[in-house]
Order: sequence, then C-alpha cells, then structure tokens
Amino acid sequence: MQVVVNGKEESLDNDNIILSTWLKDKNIDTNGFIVMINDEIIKQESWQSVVIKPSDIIEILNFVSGG
Amino acid sequence: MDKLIIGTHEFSSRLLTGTGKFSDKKFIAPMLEASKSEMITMALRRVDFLMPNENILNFIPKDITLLPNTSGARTAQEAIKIARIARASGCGDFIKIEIINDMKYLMPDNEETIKATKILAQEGFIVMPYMMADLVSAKKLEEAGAAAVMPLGSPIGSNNGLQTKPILEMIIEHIKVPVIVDAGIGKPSHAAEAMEMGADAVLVNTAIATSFDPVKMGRAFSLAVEAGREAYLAQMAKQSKYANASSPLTGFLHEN
Amino acid sequence: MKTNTLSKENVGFYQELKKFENFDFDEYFDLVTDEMVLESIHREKRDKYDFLNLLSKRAKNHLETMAVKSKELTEQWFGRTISLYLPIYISNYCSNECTYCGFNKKNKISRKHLEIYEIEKEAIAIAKTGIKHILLLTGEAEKLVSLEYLGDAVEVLKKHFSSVSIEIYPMEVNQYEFLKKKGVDGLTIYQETYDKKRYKEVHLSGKKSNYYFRLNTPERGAKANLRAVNIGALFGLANLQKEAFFSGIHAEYLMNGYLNTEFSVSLPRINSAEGNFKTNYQLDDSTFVQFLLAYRLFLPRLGINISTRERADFRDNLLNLGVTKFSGGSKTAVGGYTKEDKSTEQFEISDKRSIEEIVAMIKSKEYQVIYKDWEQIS
Repeated sequence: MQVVVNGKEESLDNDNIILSTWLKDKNIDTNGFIVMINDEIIKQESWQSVVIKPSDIIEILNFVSGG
Repeated sequence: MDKLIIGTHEFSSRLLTGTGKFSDKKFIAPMLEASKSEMITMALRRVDFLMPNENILNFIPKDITLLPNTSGARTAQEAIKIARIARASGCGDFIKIEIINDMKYLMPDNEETIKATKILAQEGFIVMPYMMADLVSAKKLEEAGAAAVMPLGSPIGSNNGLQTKPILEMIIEHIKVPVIVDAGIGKPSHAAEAMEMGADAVLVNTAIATSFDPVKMGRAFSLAVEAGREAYLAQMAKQSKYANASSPLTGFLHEN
Repeated sequence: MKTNTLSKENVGFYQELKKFENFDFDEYFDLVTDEMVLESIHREKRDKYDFLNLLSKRAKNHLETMAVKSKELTEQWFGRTISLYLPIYISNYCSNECTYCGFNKKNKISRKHLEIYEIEKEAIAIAKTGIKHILLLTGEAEKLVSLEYLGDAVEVLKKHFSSVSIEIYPMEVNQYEFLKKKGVDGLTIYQETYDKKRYKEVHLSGKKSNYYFRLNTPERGAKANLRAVNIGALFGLANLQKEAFFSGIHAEYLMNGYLNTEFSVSLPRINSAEGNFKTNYQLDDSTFVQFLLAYRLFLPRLGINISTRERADFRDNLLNLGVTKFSGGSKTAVGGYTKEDKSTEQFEISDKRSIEEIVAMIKSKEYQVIYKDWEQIS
C-alpha cells in the first residue's frame, strides 16, 4: 500500500500493518518519537493497537537540539 | 536572587538556555548544572530514518522545564501546529513561538507571532513569543495573552549584544509580563547589562553552546545574570526610597 | 629667601577674572531661557556659561530639578558623608578696618589674645566633643599674631586634633610652608568681594586693602602644598550673582591648577538684621540655595562648607542639597569655650546646637559623620 511518511511517498508491503511492528522494522531507537497519523497524535501506549491503512499520512517527529 | 514568575511557574534562575549548536550534546547536562538554568529550549523535527537524531530529551535532566520552540514555522498556522504536537507529546504547556521567514537575518515575523499567540493562549499554552524588539508589537502580544515577551537583543547568532537597547528600555518600562531578552547575547557582560536595565531574564544559546568550554561559560553567564539582577534591585530600592520623598528637596523654601 | 608673592595683577587668577570684568551679566541673564537652564542641569560636564545659566533668575524656576541633580552628584563624589569641624578664635586684635566685621579695628570691643597655655585649655575643652578637625582663627595684628605665635599655637593644637586649618591674614608661600611644617593642613581665606571697586570701599586701611594680594592667597596656599583650601565671597557686599560667579570660577581655576589640593567653598552672608553693617545686597534663602546648587553642578568635586552663621533648621535642610562640611558647637568669641565672661563674637551664631545634637541630626538624615579625614604622620 502507499502511505506518506514525513512528506514522502512510501510503499509498504502489507496492507494493514500494525504501527508498532512497522516502527520496530525500521531498526532505530524510537524513544521520544512523536507519531501522528492523519494529524492525530498516537500516544506511545497505543502504538501496538493502531493499524496503518492505505493513503495514511504519517508524521514521525522528535525533539532535537534548537535555540 | 528573587524568583522569576512566568505564568504560574516560579523559577530561581533568570538564565534560560538552549540546546542548539553544541559540538557534543554530552555538554548539555553539565552546562545546565553549572549555569543553574532551569529552562531550556529545543526544536521539533521530522525524524530522518537514515540519520536519526538522538532524542534530545535524553540529554536533559528530568527537573528542567522544557521550552519547545516552533522553529521551522513560517506562518502562524505552522507554529500553532507545532505547538499542539509538542504539547501532545507530553512535554508541558510552555511554547516558544518562533516564526521566521527571513532566511538571511532570521528576523522574526511579529505579525504572524501575534496571531499565533492569540490562538495558543486561548488553548491554555504558556506562550513565550520571540519577537523583533518593538513596543507596539510587545503590547499586542501582551494583550493577546503572552506569558512573557522575548525581544531580540541583536540577530540570532550574531553575538552583537544589545543593539536594540533603546527599544528594550521602552519594552521593559511599559510591558508588565516578564521581558526576556533572547538572541544576540554574546558575552556575559551583555547579559549583565540586560539584567541591570531591568530585563526579567535572558535566553542564551549560541554564546554558551559554541564556547570552547560550554560548562564554564554557562557558569559565567549565571554569575553575570545574578550580578545584573542584584544591581538592578539595589538601584530600585534606592529610587523607591528617595525619589518618592514626601516633600521635595527644596520644599522647605516655600514653607511658612 | 625668594618669596613667590603673587600680589600683582599680572599673575594668577586675576588673568581669568578680568576676562569677565566688563561682561554684561544683566544682558546675559535676560537671554537665559528655561530650555537653556534645563540643558545646563542635565549636561555631563558644565562650563562657565552653564554656571551662569544656573545662577540666572530663570533658574529659580528649576530649583527642585537642580536639587535632585545636586544630591545625585554629591552622593556620587562624596558619598553620604559630612565632615565636622569646629572654629577656635585665639585673638581678635586687628589692624584692618573692614566695615562689615565685628573685629574692625575701629570698633570698641573688648580685645582678647590667648596665651599658648590658654589655647591649650580651649583645645582640651573642644577635644571632649570628639571633634578632630579644628579651624584656627585670628584677626590681623601682625606683631601680636606673629608667625612664631601662630606656629606655637598650631603645635599645641596638633596635640589634640588630627587636622588643623587656619583662617588668618593672607601670607606668603614660605610662611604657609612654615606653618605646614608645624602641622597646618588647611587654609580658609575669603575674598570678601571680587568687585575691585567695592573691595576698596569696604577695606579702608591695613594690609587687607590690597585686593590682588588677597585674591592670590588661595593660590599661594596651594603652592605651599597645603592639603585643603576653602574659599568664598562674603555675600552682601556687592552684586550677588557676580560674587557667586567669580567665586565659582576662582574655584575652577584653582582646581584645574592644583591637583594636589582639595578645594571647598563657603557661602558666608551678611545678615542686615544683626550688626552695624547694612547691606543693599541681602542674600535670601532661596538664592542661597540656588547658589549652593549651582556650585555643586558646576564643580561636582568642590566641597561645600556651611557654618553656624546659618539657622539650625535651614542648615538641616541643606544637608540633602550638596553640603559636605559642617561646623558645629561653635563659639566665635575668643576664649569662647572656656571663659565665663563673654567676649565679642565675630558674627552671631545662629545654630547654637552642641556637637552631640548636630551629630544626631546628621545621623537621623542617614548621613555618616566624618570626624577625621586624614592623619598627617610626616
């Protein structure tokens, strides 16, 4: 399926993949990540119960250094 | 030093710091300890999966108040969006509004900042807008519900000190919410100068982060801020004692 | 031994003074506006013309503003301190005929002259008050009040006081140097009047009738390296604004020329109500205050010295306006501190309070009393 991740088109193998699984596959430390799907923030507790659907607009943000 | 009150929060330190531009983030925690700063800024960015930035919150002790900024926003709408995301992530209600669409000098857009402040204040944020030093805008920000105003001393990163001093004086005199001089403070003496003038606090990022020894520089700034504040309070005490004398100095010449 | 006389008109301060001798003060004062006065008050450094603006009638509209500035400058340069001293008159014999003075040789008053042991008795009585700075005064009777006698008097006073100043007849540099060796560190000398013509009219005979010799006296004291020199005009003899102006620029001239010496000014004024001398130039309280403030603004580092000639309540109010030196508990009669039978006073003392009372008043206004500014150890 096609989704938009951080403003870029991305192709996912499965339709309906669980968010927490998808993030784990990326193999990076997700501590502190802020995840939004279609402008809604998904709290970390809910990552394992949310499913990514086709055409979802996903934003993954975190706090970085800044003045 | 007397407490700084922003919104309903009390701070013992009048030095705000930033996490930007450090050569190594490992300096942030010891810098915070040496400078006694209790509030630090950070930015919100999209994660780059190829080169993910480590979560800055890992480098900041738990008791420090987080001040996320809306850097990257070029309009009020974008700033509002960033603010809501930051708060929703659980880092508190403070937000530094930074709306910059001038990429050369990094001058903030006062007009968009006022718009964003109005909306975010209504949503219960503790809004601290970064602004170009201008009394009219400062008043509008105050009316819009800003918890403090943050006029720049000189352009971000320039280290040029208080180039806007005459305007800062006006703002300090007429604005009731805390006035925090942000940007351009390049030396501890600049910070002392701002505090002596009556600023309520200063925000220093570049000068500390890019210093050869950020921990030592953090301490230097902390001392400068204290020195300037004490000097200001001493002057205030003297003025209130003598300037409001019940009868003027030459009043006796007109008696009987 | 060569003496540096400075008694002629071609040397010294007269060179400065004569530049203004024909200046039309009235015309200038008429041109002074409120704006000019305010600019002069707020300027960083003030010059002679600022001084004139501050002495003008127009400046009377701005006394409070001048006062606030004066207080600020005084605190900046002197802190909140007042030096205390006491006068001691040891002889009122005089060979001068100054028409305004109680000791005028033509006046039939009881003349007294203290022996050295009597001076010591006076000194002991005064020292009990805690005062450490004394001003020694005499009339001018050169044979009786000889340099030797003065030297002995100073020696005995030095046993009881850390600082001895003199207010006596004008002397030569070498005479001041002699007295300095005995222990004198300060000199007070009033020009009386800077108006040359008037000076002749009121100083009828005696050595004092030499205008230029007197005019250059403070400079000779500074040349002798005396530590402190106090000058002033006696207000009441001639046009008041001119006296204030000339005494002010005299102080400026001295301060610029003699960096080693501390200068101060007094504002003695004749009171028509007392004594036999009637004046057409009565200096009223508000003009007195104006002059004091103008001195301070023109010369921030100039000391301002107020004696007990002034009323107690008036003096108290002057404290916040720029005064740095006070006399107190004064007796202006010879032997006034010990003798029961009162001899004639040189001028009537208005502030009759004791040293303790004056000290208490000064402290109540949150000023610190300085009894001893220095100790000469060589």
